[in-house]
Amino acid sequence: MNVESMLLLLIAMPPDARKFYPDDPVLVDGALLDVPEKPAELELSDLYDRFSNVFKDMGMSPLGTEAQSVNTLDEAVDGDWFVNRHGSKRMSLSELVRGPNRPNQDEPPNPDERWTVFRSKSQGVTPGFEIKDESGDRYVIKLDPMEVPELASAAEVIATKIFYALGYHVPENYVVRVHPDRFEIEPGTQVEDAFGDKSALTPFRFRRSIRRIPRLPDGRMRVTASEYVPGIPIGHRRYFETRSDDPNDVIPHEDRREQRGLRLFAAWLNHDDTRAQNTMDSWVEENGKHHVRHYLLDFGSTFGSGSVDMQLAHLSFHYWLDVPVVKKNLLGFGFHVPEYRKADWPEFPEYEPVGRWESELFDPVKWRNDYPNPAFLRMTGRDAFWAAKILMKFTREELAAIVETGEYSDPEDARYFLDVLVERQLKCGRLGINAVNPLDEFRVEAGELSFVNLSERYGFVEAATSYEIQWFSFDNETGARRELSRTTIQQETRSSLPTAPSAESFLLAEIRTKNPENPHWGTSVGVYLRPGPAGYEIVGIERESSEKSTFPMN
Amino acid sequence: MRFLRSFVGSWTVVAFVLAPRLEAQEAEAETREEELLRKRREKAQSLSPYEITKAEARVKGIEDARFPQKIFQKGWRGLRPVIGGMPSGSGTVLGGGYIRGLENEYFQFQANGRWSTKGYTMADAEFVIPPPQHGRRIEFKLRGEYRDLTSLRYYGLGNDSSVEDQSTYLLNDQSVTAYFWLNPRGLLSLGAMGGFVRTLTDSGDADRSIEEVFDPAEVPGFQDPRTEYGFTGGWVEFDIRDKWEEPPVGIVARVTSARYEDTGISLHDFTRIIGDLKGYVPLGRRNRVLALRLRTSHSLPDDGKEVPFYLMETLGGAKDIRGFREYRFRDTRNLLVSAEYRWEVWNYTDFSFFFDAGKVFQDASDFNFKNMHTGYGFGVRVHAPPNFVLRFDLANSTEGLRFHVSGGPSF
Repeated sequence: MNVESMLLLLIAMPPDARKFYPDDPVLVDGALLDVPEKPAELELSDLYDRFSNVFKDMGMSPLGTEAQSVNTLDEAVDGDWFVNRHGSKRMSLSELVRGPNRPNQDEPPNPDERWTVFRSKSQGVTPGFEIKDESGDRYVIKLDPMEVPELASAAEVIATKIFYALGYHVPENYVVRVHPDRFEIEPGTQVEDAFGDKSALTPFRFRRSIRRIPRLPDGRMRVTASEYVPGIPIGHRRYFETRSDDPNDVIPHEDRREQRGLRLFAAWLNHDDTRAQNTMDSWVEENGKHHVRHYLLDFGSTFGSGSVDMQLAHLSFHYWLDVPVVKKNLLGFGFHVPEYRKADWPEFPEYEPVGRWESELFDPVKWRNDYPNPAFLRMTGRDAFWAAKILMKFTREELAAIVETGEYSDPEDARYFLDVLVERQLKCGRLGINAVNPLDEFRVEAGELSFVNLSERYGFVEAATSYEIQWFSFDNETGARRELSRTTIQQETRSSLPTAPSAESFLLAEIRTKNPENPHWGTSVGVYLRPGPAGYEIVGIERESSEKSTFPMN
Repeated sequence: MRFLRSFVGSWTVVAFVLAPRLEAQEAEAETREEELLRKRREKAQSLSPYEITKAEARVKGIEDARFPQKIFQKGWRGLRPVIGGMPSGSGTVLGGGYIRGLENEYFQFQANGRWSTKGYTMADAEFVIPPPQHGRRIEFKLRGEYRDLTSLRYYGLGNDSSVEDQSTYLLNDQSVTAYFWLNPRGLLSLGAMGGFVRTLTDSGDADRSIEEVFDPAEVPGFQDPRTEYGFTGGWVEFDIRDKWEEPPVGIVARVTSARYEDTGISLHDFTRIIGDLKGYVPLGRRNRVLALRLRTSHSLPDDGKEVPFYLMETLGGAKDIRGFREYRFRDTRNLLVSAEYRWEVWNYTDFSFFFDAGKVFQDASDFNFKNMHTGYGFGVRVHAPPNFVLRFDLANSTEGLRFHVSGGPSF
């Protein structure tokens, strides 16, 4: 062999052609490095984050590229960002209702004990404070808007339960009814006013600050108690780049599956406030190792609640500053009707505790959060499919049980809330499931590969569907593949495994779905089977992207 | 030599291609976990603090300083600068004051001193219980004012007054007023007021003074010595607007009545009645609204008495006929109609086209829409919750273009 031939061979040979490792598919991120020193706390500027994201896409990867934080099954991995819960293994009703709250404690902090205020901050006439219960656990106490009891507290608690079941790390949030007499002030506590000035918080001043909070007939106040997240909080994170001080954070946040898929969840739950300020990273210790866990916080601005009042009508229909919308309005001289103006909100004041919450005009593609989020901009069909699969796991009964935890005093409010939640769920589900070839739940049993068409399962498609299936053998070391069968066209959602050329050979099934309503389902889903002692097991799922699989937000 | 060069060259290329590949082969991970660990170890070599940029830190500094709220609302221990607050047409107004009661206190108190570029001075103090930010159904306010307005404009009385007759006068007054307002944000609200005002007029100190242009005898009240008025009044307002969506639409109707008793020289006892009807009509969805207003004011002197010129209502300026200067038309009665086509451009900005027409008159028989002075124009309103409105109006009339910058809605 001459030098030139050797050169050609070397160029042709990829340095590492192996597609699957023995430990694939990885389900849990166990490769964490210890972070022995607590990272410094980061306090972001809300204004800077807002303006920088409005005028520039802060993400680095080109739009349309696929998420990186997935395993070979195209799924998110359990770890510091996400834990597969209801989407992977159905949670019981009691688990869903409990959410992140600790078992065996129905209503911590105990309202019959002493609550010690150790920090206080007021926003005009709305007080805010933090307390320690008798066990020393710390909580942020949040209040409903003075004129609209139940609005923010119900939203906060319901959203917490759903985000937890979806798989995110969230704090424990409780609706608690507490008597004002239970509060006492820790000596030296200061109150920060709406202008940032601090002064001593006296019992008199505290009583005065809470005197306008609506009381229940027995004199108690309804509040939300949000427990401090476990570990040591180290501030916010951005929805782009990685944390430069965290060795375990190696995938840009905008390219993480669970951050991109969050767009569909946020649309479903109308969490328009999904921004850096409402995240919290915490330095935690587990099994002798320190690492950074990533939380979502502050769900007061979800559903029809805007936290301090009902949700503003325009939020979720366009960005806070949406230049194309402003341009249309300006040049339309009023004849161009902004989308949000077409919404028919529920009757107020009857449904005021639910707020501006509707499903008819809701379109998950057109839904917008407060300002552009680089991860949301990058949601592809595969990300949406992943999210839709999870959110469609919730049954109406399960959602009803979760809505009950919001403790609406009027059952009609809860009924309306639930109806809208389910209708929006179906819209989000339809969008995500139909975004790509909707085959999933692959199983190998009795010499057959079976699968489910999720779009048919959920009734998102009407036209008859057929499947083109072709089998290959697959060499995991070189990536080479060889036809084992001709393409078959069939209606059944199962296919017999072919005979592999050798005991080490992987099998690959490429399945294309033919449906006249959804021509883009013709992109293939590749299912990789690895031979094992107990027969073939599914080691990889490769979903081909299609052009239709992006959801521009500009 | 040529062979040697070729040989060395070829192997250099091979080495160049091969080296990273061999390295990759050598470093090849055996498991997915190992692959990930490798990436993480690599990153661990070059960790740096996760921090904000200098630019962001600067923005955050401004954000945390809560400027301008801290400066202009709360100030330092309540001491703060103030801008504006004098009658329209006073020029640029600056001053300083003290405020207490911006949060959960039981009352709000403020006292201010103001100076304008026209040389006006004003001092005022106000006590409100409960503070307005509490949004309660009842409000009591006590207000005292001292004003020294040295060059207020006067064009003569009547609808035909000429712009050529512009003159100025001095108004020096001190007043104390108590207001009581029941259900200020409700469907039906009622208010009552009562107070005392002490007035003195004199020559203006800018342009031509009033007596240089007009016969002082024809200007009711100009030659009077300092006098005093006691006044009482009340109002009833129906606000039947749907406020569940912005902007509110519907009707606001208000009737105000006030009685002025001249307790000093007994020349100027009169009763004033004001009717103000505002309608906000949504044109389809509320992104465009036609706002309409009809306002009329009638000051009715007792027999043998007259309404002093400085207590007459005027037309002209940012609040009524925007194509004319402030105080342009003055008499005992007036009639104003305004129409605005407003459309939403951004959630914090509306644009509008407007048309104003108005007249002043003395005889009730002139209460009609004849001989109205008209103006039209274009406006931009920047608003932010809960009540901030900054208004820019460019208006035209037979007396040319006027540009107004003002706070609060036009109506």
